[in-house]
Amino acid sequence: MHWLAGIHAFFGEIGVVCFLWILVEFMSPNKEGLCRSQKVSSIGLGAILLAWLMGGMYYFNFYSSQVKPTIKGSDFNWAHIVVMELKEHVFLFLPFLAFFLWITLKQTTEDNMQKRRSHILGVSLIGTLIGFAMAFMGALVSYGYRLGLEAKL
Amino acid sequence: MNLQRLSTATAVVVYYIAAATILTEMFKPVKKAFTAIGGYHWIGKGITAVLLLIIVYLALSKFPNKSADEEMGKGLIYAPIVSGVFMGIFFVVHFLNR
Repeated sequence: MHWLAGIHAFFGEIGVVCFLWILVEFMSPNKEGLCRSQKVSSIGLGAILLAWLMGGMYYFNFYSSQVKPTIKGSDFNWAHIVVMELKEHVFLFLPFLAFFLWITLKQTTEDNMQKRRSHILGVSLIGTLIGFAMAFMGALVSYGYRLGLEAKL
Repeated sequence: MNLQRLSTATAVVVYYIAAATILTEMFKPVKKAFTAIGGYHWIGKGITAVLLLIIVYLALSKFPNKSADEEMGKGLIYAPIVSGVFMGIFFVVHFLNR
């Protein structure tokens, strides 16, 4: 695995864990949980943006020149045409959801957190599910690349 | 920041990303236009999505708020589900019809 893909996955996983953390905190929100969620949402937004940057650098420097042609030239071309295409576009939702969550939590206080609870829960659940889907799709693309390389031998 | 407007603007951006993705796959000139913006079409989509978020948020501020800030609706929760499922179906159909 290319080191940039590893760093991309590392920041991506941190981002997903942050979404999950907020989801769990808001199942039964309290003052301390809100305070933690506000900090975690900042880390989550930063991690998602870094995952985006690292993923882009990996795509530029390695994926487009080596992985993509190998997968597309093999019988496992679905790994790029379906999975990677879907992954690189659905991923774009995450920075916007993370930004929304960060701003919302920044403006949430003990007084209004119950009213905002369902919305925060919903957005953090969607972020968590998309994040796990990203990890799964990343694994499928790696699998497709490996099969493509084996087929070349 | 007004959360109701931000929620609506974010949902619009999510639908925009889905629409732009499908249009770039169907029409080559659209793909070229996005590529011209950012080097790769998905970078172009990212840049235009950020601009759209700002534009929609500012445009919505021209309209008065009818409900409380807490009433953000479920639009932002449905948008990624609808868009993601739609894009998934599109790419599978696109692959099968090649």
